[in-house]
Amino acid sequence: MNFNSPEYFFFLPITLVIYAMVFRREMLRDSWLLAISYFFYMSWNWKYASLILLSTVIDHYVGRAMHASNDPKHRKRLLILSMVSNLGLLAVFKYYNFFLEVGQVAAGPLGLDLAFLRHELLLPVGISFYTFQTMSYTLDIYRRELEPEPSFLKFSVFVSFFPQLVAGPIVRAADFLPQLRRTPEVTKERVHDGLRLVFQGLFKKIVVADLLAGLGVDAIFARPGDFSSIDLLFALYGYSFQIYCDFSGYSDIAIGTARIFGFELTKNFDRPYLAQNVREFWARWHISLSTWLRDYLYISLGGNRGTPRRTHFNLLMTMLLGGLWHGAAMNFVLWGAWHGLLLVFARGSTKFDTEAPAHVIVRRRLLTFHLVVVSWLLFRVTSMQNFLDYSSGLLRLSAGTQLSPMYYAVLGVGVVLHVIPQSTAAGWGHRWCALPAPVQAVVYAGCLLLFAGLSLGTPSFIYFQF
Amino acid sequence: MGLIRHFSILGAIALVLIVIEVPLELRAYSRGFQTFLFGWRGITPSTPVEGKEARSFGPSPSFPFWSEVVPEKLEAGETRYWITSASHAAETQLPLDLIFPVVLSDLCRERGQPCQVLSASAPGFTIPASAEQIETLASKYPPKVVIVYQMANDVIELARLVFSGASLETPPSKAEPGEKQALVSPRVLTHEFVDNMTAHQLLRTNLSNRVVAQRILHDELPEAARKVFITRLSHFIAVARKHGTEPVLCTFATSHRSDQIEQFPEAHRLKLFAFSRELSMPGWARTVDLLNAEIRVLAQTEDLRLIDVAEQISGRHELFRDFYHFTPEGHREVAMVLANALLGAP
Repeated sequence: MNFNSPEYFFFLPITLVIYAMVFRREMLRDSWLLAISYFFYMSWNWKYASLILLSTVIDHYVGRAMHASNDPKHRKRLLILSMVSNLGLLAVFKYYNFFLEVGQVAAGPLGLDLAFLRHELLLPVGISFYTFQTMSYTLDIYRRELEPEPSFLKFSVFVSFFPQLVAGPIVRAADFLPQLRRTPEVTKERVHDGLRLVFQGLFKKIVVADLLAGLGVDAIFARPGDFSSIDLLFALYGYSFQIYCDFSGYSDIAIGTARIFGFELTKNFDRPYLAQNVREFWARWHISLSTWLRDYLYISLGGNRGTPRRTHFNLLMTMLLGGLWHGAAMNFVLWGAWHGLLLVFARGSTKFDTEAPAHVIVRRRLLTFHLVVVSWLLFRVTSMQNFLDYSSGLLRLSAGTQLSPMYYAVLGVGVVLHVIPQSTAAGWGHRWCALPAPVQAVVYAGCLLLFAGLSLGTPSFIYFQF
Repeated sequence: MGLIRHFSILGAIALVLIVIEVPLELRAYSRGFQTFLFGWRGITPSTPVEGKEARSFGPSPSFPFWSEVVPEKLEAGETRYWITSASHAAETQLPLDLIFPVVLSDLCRERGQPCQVLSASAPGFTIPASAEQIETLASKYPPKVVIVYQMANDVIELARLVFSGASLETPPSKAEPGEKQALVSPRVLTHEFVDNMTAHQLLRTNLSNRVVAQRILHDELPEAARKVFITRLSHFIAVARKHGTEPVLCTFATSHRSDQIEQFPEAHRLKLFAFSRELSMPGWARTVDLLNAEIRVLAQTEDLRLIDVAEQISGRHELFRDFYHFTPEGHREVAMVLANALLGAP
């Protein structure tokens, strides 16, 4: 089940009706949230729910045992147990074949064939998200920044809460567990606002992201040699807005759904292409991951406490691993390395600089945007040959276009969505939610029909593969 | 329970959708389409002729063919022809006695050569689905000759697979073409429900197709996919032979040939794009040409009879109601072509 698939629109109202029935009984409410979260996940693959359960059991036990112990060595052993089990899951299911391929490159000259060691296990959806979520829980307890959750039920809901289970935002225990301990705040206003976010996310996904992919991006990336430099450039711009609308659309739906159930999830995007430098970009893009990497990786490596050279190394290493987090392939490693280098060069620049003259801000934004666009090329290509074909096509500087006016129109919508000031958008949202419910219902029904009509299938969200 | 009031907007959305859907369902039902709420009025079995006894047609649970109901046992001297096709021979828009398998059986009788013609066809059928059907039903209704008139749905399915980067080895299904999600996740009841909503069908044929027309479309089905098409056909031939029947191949006819495709009407193009989302119109024409050429070669290699329907009627626009579905005149013409090939010229 995806947020953009028809079954979600049956799942959501049915689960909400029963949620309302059990709402006043804390244990039943938590049990219901857990049941629907596992159902949501198991509708994709029921077997892999056992991995979430395994991660939940280990980290719940480790968290409590670690908190109860004052022996630093014992605490460290417990932390290692948590890290090894979570990273072990990632290693087996996500990275095993990748490292095998790397090993094959090294073993090739020796005449060794490691192909027989390959496995064909399916990558569990959301594994990178929920393992990072549970690791942050044990790391926070290890650092004595968090009390463990005594209730296994509540901890299980924290790990598996369905709106953010498969593609984030990566929720911190310190933010979410307190919400589970009190009665969720479900009001008409919050339900309407949550629903608005759900439809906003669907609009971004179906009307912008999927159409950009279907109208041009996918075809052009599949055969870059058949297209002019202009088409290649606009496909790259298109992909930049496709991935933004796809992922931020998912986050909107996740945050909106959680809000309908009475919970708040962390903000994940803040108009990233308006960043004036790459540091600022990472403060606006996939915020829950970038802050996770900062707090648990960059700072653990020493952060900026050492020499400039050491700081540069820490930045590079953090972004390399951040790239690898996205996918077990060399292009993601290169994508991470590119961002690491950009961050090294951007060190010392100011985030959210509003003092500079307007033309300077525009120039910085354009430069940063294009540096990020280059990285999306690395992110999107399917092989090194694909990258070389695409790059050489871009540099050929050929004219002409096969893209339709509709493609450019959708790209324009993506740009407009991006540049609307947040205060303006918030004002519109507030006024919209104040409209009578029947008016909203008619518009939402029309939107559902429009989405069904514009849809070219129900493609998965890009970040599901991570 | 008071909390449910806060969620009432969801009920209101459902109510609006129902208010939109019900009249559309009624309208579609009255026009002879399959609907979710009211089902299907059924095929129009025959054109009423005064003084003539009404004929009985399938498909029904006891007789799964889209043709005149016949006994399992053949009369002495009677030949059974089995036509395997898709919506070309399983029309929902025309009375069944105007469809070419039924017209063919009438022509047989007219020419004094008693026969049964079974239309083992259904909308959306691909060649593998037809092979499955012959495996299931050939023992009950053993045919002498199996005539294969299939191409469009296989092309749509293979184009979808090859251009989405999916494996061409994916087991083909009987699913309607144009439903990409069937390849990545199992179809569930809710999908069926939404797909069958008349509002959704209307949007697919009036909005999605316009979006498809704006895509970068491909001008040829790649060779790898064409090879799979021929493999499917070869497999069908083997299955037919296993059941002791003679397979007869047909080339596939279209309203416009490659050299006429520029004149293909916009409305028909949009109609095709409701199902086909990968190939441009020149791409369709070229693919049909290439596959027809390969069918001719296959017939020679396998030493099979070939009925070159395309050679005789492709490009005669008046015989088609869209790119590859026939008008009543077209059905009659195809039946004539088949009859001449099977029975000899009158």
